[in-house]
Amino acid sequence: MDVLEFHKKLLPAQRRLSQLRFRYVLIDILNSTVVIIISICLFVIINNYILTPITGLQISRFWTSILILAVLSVIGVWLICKSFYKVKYIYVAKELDKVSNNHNMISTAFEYIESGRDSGFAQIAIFQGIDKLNAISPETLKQPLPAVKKLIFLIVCAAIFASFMSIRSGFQQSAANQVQKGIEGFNVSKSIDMSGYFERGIEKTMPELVNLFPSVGTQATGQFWASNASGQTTSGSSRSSVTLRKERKFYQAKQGDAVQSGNKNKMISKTAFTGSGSAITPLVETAIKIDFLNINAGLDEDQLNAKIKEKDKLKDFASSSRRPFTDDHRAAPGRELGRSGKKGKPDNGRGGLGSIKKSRSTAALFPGQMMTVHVPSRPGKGKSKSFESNSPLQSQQNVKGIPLSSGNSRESSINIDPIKQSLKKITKLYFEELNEQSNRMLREGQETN
Amino acid sequence: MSSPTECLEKAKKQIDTFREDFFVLKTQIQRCFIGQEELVEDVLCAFFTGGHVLLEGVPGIGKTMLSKTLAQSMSLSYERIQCTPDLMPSDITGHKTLVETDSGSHQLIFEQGPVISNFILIDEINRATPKTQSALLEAMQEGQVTIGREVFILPKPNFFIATQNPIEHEGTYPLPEAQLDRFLVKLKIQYPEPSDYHQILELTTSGKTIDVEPVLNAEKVLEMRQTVTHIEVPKSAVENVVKIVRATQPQSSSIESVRENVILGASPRAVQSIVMLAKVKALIDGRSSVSLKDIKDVSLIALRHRLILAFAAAANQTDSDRIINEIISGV
Repeated sequence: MDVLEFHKKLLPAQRRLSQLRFRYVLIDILNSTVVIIISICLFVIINNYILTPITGLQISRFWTSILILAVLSVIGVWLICKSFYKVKYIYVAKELDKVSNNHNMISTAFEYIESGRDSGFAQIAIFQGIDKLNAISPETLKQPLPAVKKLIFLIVCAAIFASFMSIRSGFQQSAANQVQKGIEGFNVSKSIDMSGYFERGIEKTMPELVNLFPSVGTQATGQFWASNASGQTTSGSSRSSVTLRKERKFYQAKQGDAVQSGNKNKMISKTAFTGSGSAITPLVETAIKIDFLNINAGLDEDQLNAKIKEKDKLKDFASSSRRPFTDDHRAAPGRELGRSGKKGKPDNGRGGLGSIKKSRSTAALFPGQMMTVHVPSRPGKGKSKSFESNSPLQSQQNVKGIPLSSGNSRESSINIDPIKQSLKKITKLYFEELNEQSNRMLREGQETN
Repeated sequence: MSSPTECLEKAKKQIDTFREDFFVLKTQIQRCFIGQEELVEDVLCAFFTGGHVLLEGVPGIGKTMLSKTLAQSMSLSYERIQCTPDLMPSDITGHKTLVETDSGSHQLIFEQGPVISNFILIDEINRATPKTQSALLEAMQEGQVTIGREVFILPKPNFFIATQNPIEHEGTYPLPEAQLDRFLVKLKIQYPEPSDYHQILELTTSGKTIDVEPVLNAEKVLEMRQTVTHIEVPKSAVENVVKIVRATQPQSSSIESVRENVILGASPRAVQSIVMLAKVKALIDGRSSVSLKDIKDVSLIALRHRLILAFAAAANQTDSDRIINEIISGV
């Protein structure tokens, strides 16, 4: 018998084995595919719902889909390669030997035929092998079902891929923030730069400094700037109501912790943290949202949702550049400079602060004192108006001090005694007189011109 | 030159003849030596490969009986060397003696020792001193003895069967590694099966005597040995043997227990031994080619005395049999 004849005898078994192997590979591939995709999805879900609130890094859907497509492509190529793979004859012979448990007679016969051994003993071995081969049905060949052996390996691979995507996404976000920062830096004025400086100071001293900012004190600073965290992945407009609910629960939990630690009075003003988008760290954002919930503690669920949406809308509105924060309907303080020193000349600021600013700063030394704000009107056109800008403080109310620098924070409390009515009157009269005098001077100057 | 068909027919005839003679010999031995069929088969396998056998077992289980029966069942010259501590090398190999001739002159005549024989039983080999044991090295390996300037070729077929007692240490000398390596197999005789005791008692206590008839002569044995060498060995089997033997060598082994417990692994002589034994196994099974199963079946008996174990092996309560079984199952 020659090699070709022996090959022919092995053909049915080879076909059977090829089918079995293809089936084996198919099941193995299906197993692997399912494991890989489940691993990627699990990791993405874990990352987006657990790690993202902490790290701020999120895996983008784009990269996830690219990854899954790549995996599927590799698996497809693998499957195609395997479907064209033909099982070798020696492998078929060995498999048949295993099934029949016949002292490797078939594979030995195959080897002797291929190597051309023609001794009497080799011929006997070949005939014995052929006899055994004829006695075996190819149907007896079996392949065990593949087990998911590489489960851990695949999960680790998927985790590494997903981590890579997460890091890449983080880099992209950081780069976008840098660009946004540059645009904002170009647009804003010097005063805004001051607020930026303030924010950077906050960031450096986070989180201790953030907690020490009292809402009362910061509300009185007057400058309200809001900007959208353009680089942030949690865009308010794109969030669903489910997300909002989850977010609120998360923040409420945080709020509960804050209340327990006795920080209820340490309200964090949004004015302190709503600066540049890139400057807002997840912790700062969390603090802002806790404050938001503190303010709106009495609202029911729908109202709170509406509030959150409104807030996000405002953020979106201010996304292009810095804009005055007008949410509290307060007017921005005047930026008028002092006198020029010469009548009829525009102010040049060389005279220092004007009387109004001086009066306001003087009034700020009397906490709890109702301060009149003078709004100058055109001379001769009606009466000058004044209104109370600060709400009076209640007696025995603790006022937290404002930290003066970004370094060591200080905290102090002032115990305010009830102010005597006579002193209040005197102060009020003084400011009214001061305003009147100011109006008079303005009028006289204009008349002279 | 004969045609392939003639070769085939001749080979078939050789195999059939071998099997027939083998089983006749085995049956003859088992008339006297009751039970232990596997052991008898292993002894005969070693005999037909041309190797030597070391039998190890506790006293009273028939080591010497088996050897004597084997010798009696073949019409070969038979000698017995009873090893004692004062046995000298010349007692084994022979020596030259000054004798007086008929004419009254003196002449040195060589008195051959028991080693110059076909079948040599070395009883209690470990009671002989290493010096005396060394006298066997040349005879066992090369089939010759050198005395002075003269070389004496041992008659063929030549077969050594040695027995030793594993439990006695007083007055015994462990065999040196070189001596051990010259034995093809080391066979451990176990206690007989309960059913065999009845036959043993009947045979030995009833006053009956069984005469063992020689069934093979020297020519027949040599012919059978020649048949063994014709058995084919496929490449896969050779690779398997090499793999097993290399796995016993601590330098090249990937098995942790070998690296930890073995000082010296099996030599290339072990590869030869395994292949030859596997050939006989295939022959007696009616096959003309060695299989992987044959290799695995004979590896233990061919390797167990070739491993020199470290002290760690005793500490770990392991022995060479356990290590070899681990190697075989891993290959």
